[in-house]
Parts: sequence; structure tokens; C-alpha cells
Amino acid sequence: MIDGDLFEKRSSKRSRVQLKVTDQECFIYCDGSLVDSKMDIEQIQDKIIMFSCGRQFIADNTFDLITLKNLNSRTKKPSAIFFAISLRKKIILSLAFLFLLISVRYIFLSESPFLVKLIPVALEQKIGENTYNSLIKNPLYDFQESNLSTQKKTDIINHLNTIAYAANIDKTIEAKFHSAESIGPNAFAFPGGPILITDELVMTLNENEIIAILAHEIAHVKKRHSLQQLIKLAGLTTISTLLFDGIFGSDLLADSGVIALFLKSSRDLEKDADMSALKYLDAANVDRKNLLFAMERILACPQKEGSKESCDQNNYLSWLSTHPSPKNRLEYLRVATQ
Amino acid sequence: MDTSSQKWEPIVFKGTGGEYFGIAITNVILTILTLGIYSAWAKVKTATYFANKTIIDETPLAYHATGKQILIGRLIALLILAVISAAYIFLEELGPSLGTVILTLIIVFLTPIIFNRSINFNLKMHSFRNVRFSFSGNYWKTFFYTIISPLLIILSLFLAAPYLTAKSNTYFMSGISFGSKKLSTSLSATAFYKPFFIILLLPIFVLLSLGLVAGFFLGGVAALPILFLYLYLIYGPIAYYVATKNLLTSTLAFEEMAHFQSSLNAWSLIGIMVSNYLAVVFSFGLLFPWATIRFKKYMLENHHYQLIGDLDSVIDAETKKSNAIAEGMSDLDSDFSLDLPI
Repeated sequence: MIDGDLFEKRSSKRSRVQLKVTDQECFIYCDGSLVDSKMDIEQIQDKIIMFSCGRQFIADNTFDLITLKNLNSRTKKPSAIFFAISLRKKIILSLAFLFLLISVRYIFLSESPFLVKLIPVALEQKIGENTYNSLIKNPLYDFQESNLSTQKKTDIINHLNTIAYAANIDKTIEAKFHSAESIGPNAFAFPGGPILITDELVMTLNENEIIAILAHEIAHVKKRHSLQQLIKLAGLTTISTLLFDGIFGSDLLADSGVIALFLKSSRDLEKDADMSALKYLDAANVDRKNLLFAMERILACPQKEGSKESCDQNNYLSWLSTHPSPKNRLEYLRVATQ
Repeated sequence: MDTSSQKWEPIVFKGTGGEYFGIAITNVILTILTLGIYSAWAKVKTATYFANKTIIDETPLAYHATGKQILIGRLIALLILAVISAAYIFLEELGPSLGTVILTLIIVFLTPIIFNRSINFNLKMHSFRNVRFSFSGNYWKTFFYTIISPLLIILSLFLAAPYLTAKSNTYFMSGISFGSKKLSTSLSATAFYKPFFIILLLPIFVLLSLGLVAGFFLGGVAALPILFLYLYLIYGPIAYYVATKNLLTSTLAFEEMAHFQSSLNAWSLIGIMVSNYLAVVFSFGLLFPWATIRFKKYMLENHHYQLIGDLDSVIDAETKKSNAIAEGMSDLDSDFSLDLPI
């Protein structure tokens, strides 16, 4: 006999009863009198038995193994019985868990260059087109029509094609020209190809330096860095959600960790684009030092006019940046172009 | 009934890290191996465990959703999202920004439906003493508190936040029922202004002013108040959350049945939050079940109830079938369940 409370269908009224379970049936007694028998069991949850007729029995104590076996044999839905697992099972589960977690991390982070190949180029181009359209409409950046002459634009497009050829890219890369004072000298590669070049960049750099910057952007396009970043973000978010979902506050800290790792990956890809750009410049017979010169000009500190020193006063915040710190970037470019 | 003679009892949570370890780790492993499909069953297992281990007046809660029910809901929600995405691409071809505008409108006007149904589904799947919880929301009121209210808070430079969040809490809490018993709150619309000014605005204003004054007169020393300001920007919002949560809980009551109180503490919460995070990171994730239980236990056991009436008299009213589709859709975005201890 198991002591417990019986609740009628959709009623909180509690009756003290005894439950008798045999391998054939279960009986409910109240004060020694039979209340009901032949009751179908819907599900068992810990100390709760839910009957198909809508009644609920809650035992005072957890069920013993024989009772559970008898109850389980007549349950429609799988039972939800909770118990601490043995140390051996804990170790096996832990190892399987760690193996899978490392696999997810490896697949998403280390194999992202392979995974991007599974995504159709047309889809990537569509994403790039939409991102470009959203960016130039964003009032925050105040993009304007380019003031560059048609001849200048044609020259840059020719350089772009030369570098694309040197990088073994067999499609035409579209150049988008805009003036953007708030952004200054800069260029952006969008997924699938379009490259945005600001007038300010063209005004700041000489022709070979512009080619070097185009080589850097071409490397982003060729290696599909934007998509790689999306895949890495998906992987990091998956791991973070699996581990921290539902732990208040810690999920916020975990999100910060995801952002920090995402930014680190972004800096790694920037360096990768720099290194690939040097190879494309070699293949196009352009002096690789032009990338260093271009970066020196772009990253030059406005407060130190005429100087080639970069703004490194905030170097301790470089881990929050999408790009390597100016100091670090110029250092590795100096070594690579010697 | 003389309520003053009734004792305040804590909600008891009997979950343990050892028991939950097997459930949680198996859930993660199977979710990864099935590419997410198992997550519907994982959700049911976790919710069932948490419900069964939550004890009120010596009686555990029960959970009623099934994995199949949640999976079907999620699949339908995914299908709807796929249709909306396809429509977006088609509309963008027709005219620039047409897809964005129409898609935004669809999402905006669907949000209250998803909110109402998702909250109802989450509550409806929990029962106490064989009686289900439920939520009944009004479309336009939910629209106001989920779409308009956040915009008003931003437009008012957050000065309207205490008023609007108090009104929003009053609305959502008053929509909850336990069987035939409605939850009510006596929260005043201006109740959150005191913690807002004392916990958030005043210290931030003082630290910012000190930073500016010190920076102006003493140069480098300004770093200290600014460092305190950064630290306070972490502590302040949590302390404000705790203060408003305690305030709100103390005003909640099920008519002629129970009153509630919570005694959450900001420092304890921050301590748990940081130590949980470190434990999970340094154990390569293996301690996440323990961290979850620790947080859940703290939250539940710092909620107290006082019975003022007869629990035997509650009848579960027959209501419309709750909707797993809305629940599934909410899962794709975020968890729209209310901030309740269950």
C-alpha cells in the first residue's frame, strides 16, 4: 500500500488514499473502502501518477522498484523518473559530452573554410547585395554619391580586375564608389563580391597603394570571410546556448565571451586577408610594400599629423576590435614586406 | 480568515546537481547528434524535472507537454518563417524596401498573438494539485506593452520606464489564473520610481559627476570614479531588477487563497551569476547542470507564500486548447514565458 493524495479531475480537492499496485491492476482505497480499480495510467512523473480519467495521485514517498516496474508496464507515455546516475555512467556521459562539444567547436570554427563551400554562391551574392543596400541607406554613415571622375573609376575597376585575375577569381568583382566623410579612407568587401571604395580612400592613397587595399578586399571575397564569420558565430552561439541557456546572468556573460571570440576570429581573418593580399600583389607584379605604405597612411594618427606613428594609446582595448591593433598590424606587415 | 496568523512558507526546490547531471548531459548529447530535433524532448524532460522538484505546500508541480507536441509546433513555426522569408525575397524583387516594410508589419502584428499564446502554453502545461495554470491576454494590450511601450521608453529617455514596466507587469500578472482563481496585483503604477531613482539614476549621476569634476581638476585621478561607474553599471541594473521583482512579488495574490513575497538579494544573485559562469567555463561545460540547479534553487527558495484560504476549493475551468505552434515560434526567437518562479 502506498500512502498519498488523490485529486479528482480538474479539482484541487485533496483526499488521503492508499494505492495498491499489483502486476495486474492498481486499486485505490480510502479509509479501507475501495474507491476505484482498473484505472488506466497516462504517465508517471517522479511521485505523481496521472490517470487517463483525469485523476492524479501524488505519493508521500518515491516509489520502490517493484511498484515502479508494475506501474511502468501499464503506462501509456514514458515515465519521468529521476535518479542520480552511477559514477561510471557519469564518466561515460562526461567523455561523450566533451567529445561532442570539441567536435562542434572544431567543425564550426576550424572547418569554416570548408563549410562555406556548401553554401551556394548565388545566395552569398544575394546576402552581399542586401547588406550593401542596407549599409548605404543607413543615415548613420551618410553615404553620398561618389565625386570621382569616370576616368578614375575606370582605372580603379581595371586595377580590381587585374588583382582578381592574380588571385585566380574567375568572376567580375563589382566596384561601388561612394563618398563617406564619417567613415573616411576605407574599403569594404561584401559577401559574394561587391567592394565599396570611398572617395576619401582614393584621395588619400597613390595608385599602387589603392591596388594593395583592393588586394586585401579581394582576399576577403575569395576566401568568403563574411560567410566564415557567420558560420563561426553560429557555432559559438550553439555552444553557448547548450551550456548557458537558462542560467540567469551567466548567459549574458557567455554572450560576452561569444562576442570576444567572434572579434578574435575577425582579427585573425583580417590578418589572413593581409597575408593573402601580399601574394596577390606578387602575382600582379606590384611591390608588396605598398600594402604597408597604404596601412601606414590609413592608420596614421590624426593627432600626430605627418607622422607614420599609429594611434596606439587605446591598444589595451584591441581585443574589442574587429581589426588587429594598428601597432600589431604594421609590425607584422613590416616583417612580411622586408 | 485572519491572514496575520498564517505562516510564510518558502517554495521548496528538491532538485540536485547529481540527478540533473544525467538529464542535462544526455539532453545536450542527443540534441547535438539529432541536429536539434531532440531539443523538443529535452525541453520536456527539463521542464518535467523542474516542475516535479518544485514543492509548494508539500505538493510537487506536474508538467504536461509532450516532445511530439513541441516538435510539431516548432516545425509549423519554421514553415511559417520559411514562407515569410520567401515572400520577403519575392517582394524585394517587386520594389526596394517593400519586403522589409511588409515583413516588419507582419512580425509586429504577429508578436502579440505569439506572446499571448506562448505565455498561455507555458503556464497551461504546469499543474498544481491537478489544476492547471493559464494566461488570458488581450491582443491590443499585449500589442501596447510589447511593441509601443519599448518605443515610448526609448523616446522618454528611459524616464517612463518605471511607469510603463509597472503597468506592463500589472497587465501580464493579472492575466494569470490558477484554475478558477485569478492572480491579482496591487502594484502602483509609480512603485518602481523609488528604486529607479535611488538605485539607478542617483548613483550613476553622482559617479559621473565625480568623474567629470575630478577629471577637470585632477586629471588622471578621474579614472577611479569612472571605474566605479563601470562597476556600478553592472551592479545597478541587477539591483534594480531585484528591487522591482521583490516589490512586484509582494503585491501578488491569488484571490482568497495565497499571498506571495520574494527576498532576492542583488549581491547573492551576482555572486551566483559570476561563480556559475566561472564554474561552467573552467569545467569545460561539465558543471552547467550544477549551475542551473544552483540558480533555480536560489530563485525558488527565495519566494515565499502565505496561504489565506482553502486550497481544496479550486476548480480547473475548461478552456480553449493551448497552442504549441505559438510556443514553437517563440522558441525560435526567445522565451516569452513570464518571469515567474515556476
